[in-house]
Amino acid sequence: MAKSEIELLQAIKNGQYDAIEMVYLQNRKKFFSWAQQRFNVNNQDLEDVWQETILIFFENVKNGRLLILKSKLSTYLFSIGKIILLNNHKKAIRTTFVDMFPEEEDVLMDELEIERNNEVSVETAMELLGGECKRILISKFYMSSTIDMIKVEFGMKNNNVVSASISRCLKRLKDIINANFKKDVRE
Amino acid sequence: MSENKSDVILQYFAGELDVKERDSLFEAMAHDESLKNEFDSYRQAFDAIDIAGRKELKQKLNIAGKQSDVKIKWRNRLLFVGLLALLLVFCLWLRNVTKSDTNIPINSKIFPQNPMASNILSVPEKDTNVTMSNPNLPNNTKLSPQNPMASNTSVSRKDTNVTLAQNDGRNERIDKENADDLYAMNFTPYTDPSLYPGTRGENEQDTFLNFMESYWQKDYTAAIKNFKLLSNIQQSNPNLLFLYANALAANHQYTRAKNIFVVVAQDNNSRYKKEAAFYEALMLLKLGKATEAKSIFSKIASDSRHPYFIKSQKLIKQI
Repeated sequence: MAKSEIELLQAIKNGQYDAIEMVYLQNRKKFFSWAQQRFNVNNQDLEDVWQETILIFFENVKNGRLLILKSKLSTYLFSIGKIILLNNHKKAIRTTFVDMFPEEEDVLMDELEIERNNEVSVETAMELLGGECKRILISKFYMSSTIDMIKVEFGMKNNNVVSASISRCLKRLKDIINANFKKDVRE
Repeated sequence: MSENKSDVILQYFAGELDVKERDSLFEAMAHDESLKNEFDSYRQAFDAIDIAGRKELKQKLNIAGKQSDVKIKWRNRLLFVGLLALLLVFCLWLRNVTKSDTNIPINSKIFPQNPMASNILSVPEKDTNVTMSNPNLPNNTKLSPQNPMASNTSVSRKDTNVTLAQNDGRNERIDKENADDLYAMNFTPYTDPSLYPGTRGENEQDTFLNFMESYWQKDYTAAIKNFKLLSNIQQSNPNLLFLYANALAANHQYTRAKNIFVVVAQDNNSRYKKEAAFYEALMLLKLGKATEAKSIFSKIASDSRHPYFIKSQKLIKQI
């Protein structure tokens, strides 16, 4: 693996958004033309697939599942994209219209509804948390940014302030979720 | 104790626990309901962060993608406009080139090493009666102002013989050819309407009329013969000597012609004093004495009232 690729992976692991954006833009057009030759997909769907590909790549790097690249970066990314496109294709084939749902299907639909509600409440919890807290938590726990990076990004005085802010925000989020879930359970 | 529990759970979600510590955490959760609830709360909090993080990153990438599309669109537009402008400039250039038959940039591009290439078709300012039938032109030079391609062909044939001139001998040959071409392009026996024999008086001697008529008819061989029949006084007349020298030059007797032009050019009584200087330089050029010729052309080029002022300037550049 070339030195530049090692540095790139390290930058992504450290949560540097610029590095992710670079990977996203550099291979975007190539992926589009590659995918359009093989799949019957419109540009909007391709955009979604490509974004999802980059997110998976980023999470793999972040979680340590991707430490070194055995092939070219574009090959790795295209293989993720290909799997997503194939899954989407399979889903599209599997989705057939049935005139009458059997009664037991209603139960499954209910479960799906509950799961979706949970997701909505979790999302709402993040919205209730407020702008800065939300951004700090995303930066720390999703982007895996270092304390120093967060200090610079949010213009904080020192590392202790950053750590305290993270703890405070996380506790607030937990409280919001607990409050919402208790309410859901009561309902 | 509660803070200690939270720390362990946080360490778990940060991936900082080893297998043993993880096992003990799960075992503790099996017996401790409050610890399990705390763990679930954190799990949901981290799920929320992950969902929001993904959403935010996706939004950022979406914006970046759209901005990139706009940039590419503008770049393509600029490129298109640039190409269009280039095409327009090229068309204008092409139009100008095809319009002017005295300018052949295509030739000068193909044969940049041969300065004559651009002169082959150029029409001299004063001597405009250079035609294909001119006996003084070298055999390998075709003059065809109406058909630029004809002269291109002759130039290219010549060029294939003299490319990559590396030794002195070859350079000399090129210089000689150059001089020959320049001479051929610029030499035409002198003529003007006052030489028309019909304007002469009836009491003139026949030999004189014969000389003038043969010169006017461009029968230079006859003109030379008739000049010899003139009286001694007539033969020493600088004006008639000038015409005689022209006839000699037209008959390829360059050295003799040059000597006569020298005399005429120095004679203050001659009406062709200035013209003789120019012709003398042309003879020198033809005889391979380019430096001497250039020096005379330089003198002419410094006199803006000289009838061959412009022509001499051009020749200096071309030698």
